[in-house]
Amino acid sequence: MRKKRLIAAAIAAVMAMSALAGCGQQNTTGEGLDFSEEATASATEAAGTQAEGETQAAAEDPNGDTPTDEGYGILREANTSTIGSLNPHTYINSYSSEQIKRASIGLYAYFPNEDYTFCELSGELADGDPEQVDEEGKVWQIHLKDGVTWENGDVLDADDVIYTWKMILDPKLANLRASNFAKDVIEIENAMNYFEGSCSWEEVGLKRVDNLTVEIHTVSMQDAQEIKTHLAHPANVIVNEEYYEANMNADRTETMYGTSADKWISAGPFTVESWTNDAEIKFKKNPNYVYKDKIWLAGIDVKVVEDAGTQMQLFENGETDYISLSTENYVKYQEDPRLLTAPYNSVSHITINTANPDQPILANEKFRQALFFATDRDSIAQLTYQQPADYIVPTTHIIDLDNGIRFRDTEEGKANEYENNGYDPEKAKQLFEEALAETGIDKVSLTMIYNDSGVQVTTSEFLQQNWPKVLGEDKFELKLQSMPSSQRGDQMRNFANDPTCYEISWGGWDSTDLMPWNAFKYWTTYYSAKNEPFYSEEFDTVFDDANFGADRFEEGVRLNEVTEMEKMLIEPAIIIPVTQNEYKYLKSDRLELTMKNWANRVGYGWDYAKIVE
Amino acid sequence: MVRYILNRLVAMLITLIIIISIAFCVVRLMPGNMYEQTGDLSQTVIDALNEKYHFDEPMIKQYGYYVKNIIFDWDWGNSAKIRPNVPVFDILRDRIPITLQINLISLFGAVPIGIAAGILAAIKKNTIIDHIISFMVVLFISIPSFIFATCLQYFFGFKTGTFPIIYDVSATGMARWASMVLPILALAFDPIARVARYLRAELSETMNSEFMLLAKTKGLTYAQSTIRHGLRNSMVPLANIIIPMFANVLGGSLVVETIFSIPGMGGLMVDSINSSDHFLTVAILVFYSLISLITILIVDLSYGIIDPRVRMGGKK
Repeated sequence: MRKKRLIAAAIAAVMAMSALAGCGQQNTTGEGLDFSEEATASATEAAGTQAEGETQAAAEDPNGDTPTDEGYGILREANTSTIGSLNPHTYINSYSSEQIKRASIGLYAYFPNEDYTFCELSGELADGDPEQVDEEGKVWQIHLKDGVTWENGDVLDADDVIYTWKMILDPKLANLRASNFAKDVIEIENAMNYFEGSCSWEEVGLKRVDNLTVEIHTVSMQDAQEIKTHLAHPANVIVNEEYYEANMNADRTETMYGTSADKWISAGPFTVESWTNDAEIKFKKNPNYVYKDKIWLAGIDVKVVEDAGTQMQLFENGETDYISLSTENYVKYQEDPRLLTAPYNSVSHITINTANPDQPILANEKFRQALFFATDRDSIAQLTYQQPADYIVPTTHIIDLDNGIRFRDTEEGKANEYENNGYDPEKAKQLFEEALAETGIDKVSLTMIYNDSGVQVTTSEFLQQNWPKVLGEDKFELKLQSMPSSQRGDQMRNFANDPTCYEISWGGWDSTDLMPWNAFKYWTTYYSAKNEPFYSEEFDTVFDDANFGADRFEEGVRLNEVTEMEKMLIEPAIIIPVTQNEYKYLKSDRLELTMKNWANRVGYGWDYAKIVE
Repeated sequence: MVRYILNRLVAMLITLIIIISIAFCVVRLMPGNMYEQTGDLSQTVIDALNEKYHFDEPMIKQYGYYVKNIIFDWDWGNSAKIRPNVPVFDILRDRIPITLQINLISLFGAVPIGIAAGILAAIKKNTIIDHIISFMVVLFISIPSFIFATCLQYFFGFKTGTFPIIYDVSATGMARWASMVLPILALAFDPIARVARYLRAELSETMNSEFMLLAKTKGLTYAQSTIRHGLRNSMVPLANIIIPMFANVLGGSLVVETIFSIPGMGGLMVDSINSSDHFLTVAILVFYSLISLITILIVDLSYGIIDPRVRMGGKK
């Protein structure tokens, strides 16, 4: 009898396990996607509420009044990305660049401003702003702070800066991030010629003046802000010559610098205490860091946790201090007071292969405009918990840095937007009929390629249902083809070799939010990784004027040029903007942010936060 | 026997060369440029990188450089994306130990349990014990390991806190072992069931053989005849599934490793293909092929060791 009971209990336990098998944290079903209007999030309000909550500081702050050399408390993070390398010359993903900044020093860097409400771009190793030497604005001197050291106490001076530049441009190393010296925000004299091996290092416009001064020679006239922006890029942080050389191979074509903890040395806010590749990296406050008084934390532990469900469990268990929420998890936590939101620095848009010979209608402007006006952005935004966007320049982009004016808040920016977020079914239908008449086509059947995960699935499926309703189900059909993100990217960018490689797809460029005029480089003729066959001399001219023109610093010039470039892409519907995404975070109570709100470049300033446990 | 082994080794080498060649070509023929998807690279830099790694040359020449580097320098190339500039086999070397550790422990635990369950089910055939074991076997085989992983993590990691939610790579001693318990358990259910099912079927058949009847009539007890004759004969076909199981552990488990954040071999292949890390992809393919070939050889040779009646390469 007792035996039977035991057996029965065992069977019951197994059955319970199998019944509960689906109740893990994966949540891969469509459960999280609420198709009702009620599901719309009031995310921005939540961010404001959170900021107020930050002021409720603990009565007894274990951090003291000012940060100590050791700091207090460990910030615990979990991220889905891995850190391939800390070498600033070879890193691949933006997540690596964030970690590089944590453990490196650059000439300039973005910091929270004095009252922790915005970012400021100021000298990190550099002592003050760049100094204009010539009258044309092509020669700039940068003075370095005296007494800055590496974590081992070795002094950091102009030789380190020059060595860094020489290595990033070294022709034999052919570093990936030498791209940073190609014509972009600024163009250094002969930098790419040296990279290509067609001139000597002495001819490059990067000079050592003295032990604490370096000089930059640019091709065009620049201002100090542009020089600082260029030098604040993570690819330009200073590398250590001793370590860089020690890890170089015999024929000097590769260096293992920054590929493990023992091949890395820091001069930045944190040092690398330990690093297990693809699993965990532990940072420790650097007491030698030049701005150590800005850092409250004793360290940061970053774990690689690829599974969103596992990340959520770790957060709920108090093992991580903040978490980036997936859409599914956001649905559960949208009313949570711990919720923080931050705007994406890009707009998700539909790219169109206008040169596809199999789909000549894609070259028809009226047809593309029909798709633009047939896109119900509000409904998509409700489904995906994002913001509708009928524009290209994201809300994060600032046109006037001195006064903190965002492009989307200007009259010119607003004039580029449409009523009802660009959704006009009647106009869409009319344009579609006109396009059919012009091309002599009876029925359009398009294939959209999209990522096999994330919000692109929801959005693409919505368009598959909604576009035919607007344009006529007997005349329009949208087929969907999903594929991994990287494969989709390769396929799209192959349009020059194979014009039939795709018909329509998705895009979204992350760009320099403090320089919206530079964000249009992706549509210039000479951009190397273009998504769509858009080539316009007129567009290139406006872009060049805004970025390199002699009158670009005059009031209102760049504003007008940004407005014009946006119009040149939206009016003929070269691309179709759909939504601007949002980051959603949950933050634990033991973490107190010093930032009063989200701000460009520094976000919520996790590295400047305090642990108040 | 020695001649047979030598023949097999030569055949293995030829197979491996063919696999390397095919893998190299297939990976190179994948659409897209290795560096274009990295984003925001200037054409000058893309051209320089293509020149550095010979991607701008015909595929046959690229293959020539590849083979030359392997033969003369034992250089299989460096990772370009997953861990830039790190030799590909260094990446494998970092990843294999943890995969091996967790999977081997899981398998060493699972095989005896599976064998015991199989024996029990066979000798108690058609009793309640056999039915329970058979039910568990069906359950363990039909429910994928990631479901077990998710449930174990939720109940024993998150809800009760008995074990850590994820594998703790920086922990030492007992804390490290504790963080390995859940993934080991999650991986053990499937091999337990497979071994038990296979052994039950084999042993049941053997038990009804005439030589078993003879053994019993000679005076052996039920237990003696089962262990000395029944089990030994049933183990021969079992080697067919157990040895490949040990080989497969090197591949890791993509989902279980992801759930428990184990930096093992599981997702490396997918990651390298998705990121167009060509040298790494080829290295992983070669590694897996080599393991498979060695496994096949061991299985073939093991027949002769386990069952002397099987003589590989012997004269007729």
